[in-house]
Amino acid sequence: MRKFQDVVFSKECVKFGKELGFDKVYFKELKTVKGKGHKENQKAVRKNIDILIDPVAENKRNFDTAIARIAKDNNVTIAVSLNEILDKKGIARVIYLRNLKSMIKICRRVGNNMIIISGAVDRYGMRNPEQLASLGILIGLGKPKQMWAVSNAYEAIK
Amino acid sequence: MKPFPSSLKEKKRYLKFKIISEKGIDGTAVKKEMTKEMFRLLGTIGVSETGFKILNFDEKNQTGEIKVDNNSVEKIKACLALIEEIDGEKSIIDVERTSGTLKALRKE
Repeated sequence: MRKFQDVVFSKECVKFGKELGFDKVYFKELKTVKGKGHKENQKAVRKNIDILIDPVAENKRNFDTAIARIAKDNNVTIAVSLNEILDKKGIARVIYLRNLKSMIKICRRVGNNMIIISGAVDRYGMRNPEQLASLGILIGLGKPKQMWAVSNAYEAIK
Repeated sequence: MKPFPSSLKEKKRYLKFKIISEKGIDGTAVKKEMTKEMFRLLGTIGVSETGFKILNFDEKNQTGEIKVDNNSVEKIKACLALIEEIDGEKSIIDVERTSGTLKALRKE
């Protein structure tokens, strides 16, 4: 059975997430790191973390095959957050979506576990699970993979 | 005139959405924001392929119905997910149901 799950950064979102149709909303249960530069990303995936969020938020060179392989060996999940897409406007969003496509290509080749999260800091940053999954198609995940990324992919984290 | 065969007609889907916001939002602003976001994300050709049409919007319950092409449901859902503000008010467009007929969509 499909079980929709999400990761948020605010306590008010946990209750609201359940109203939207999520079965489980993680607030502080998982160790998450926000992606930065190449060195920081490499350092993060070597540590004992669960999720690396938006490694290509600044530049697509910040995530490469080497980092993807280390992440796979250390069982680190790569996450794409809706919050980051919403934050970026105009040409910055275009570049970010392009970076995401190249990141997803690497992740699929290496075989990383990928999830789509809302990463919300307030209730208006959240969307229902099916809309979140639709974003998966937009950023280049296949049709079955996008549903996997909001539901069953969490089983591989712990 | 020979009738257009139903097998050649585009298949459609109906979406039911709800606006989650602090204040009530009027239908014109919702239509305007949706169209704006669709053009921003999909472009003119993209929007024409979706067959997007807002059927109605109930301002009292803040719910509405959209008609789209069956191949474009995911695109429309993604577009609606990217809307942050309507009429300067922070809001969420929550797609509650998807159906092939209006009758089934309106069924509780």
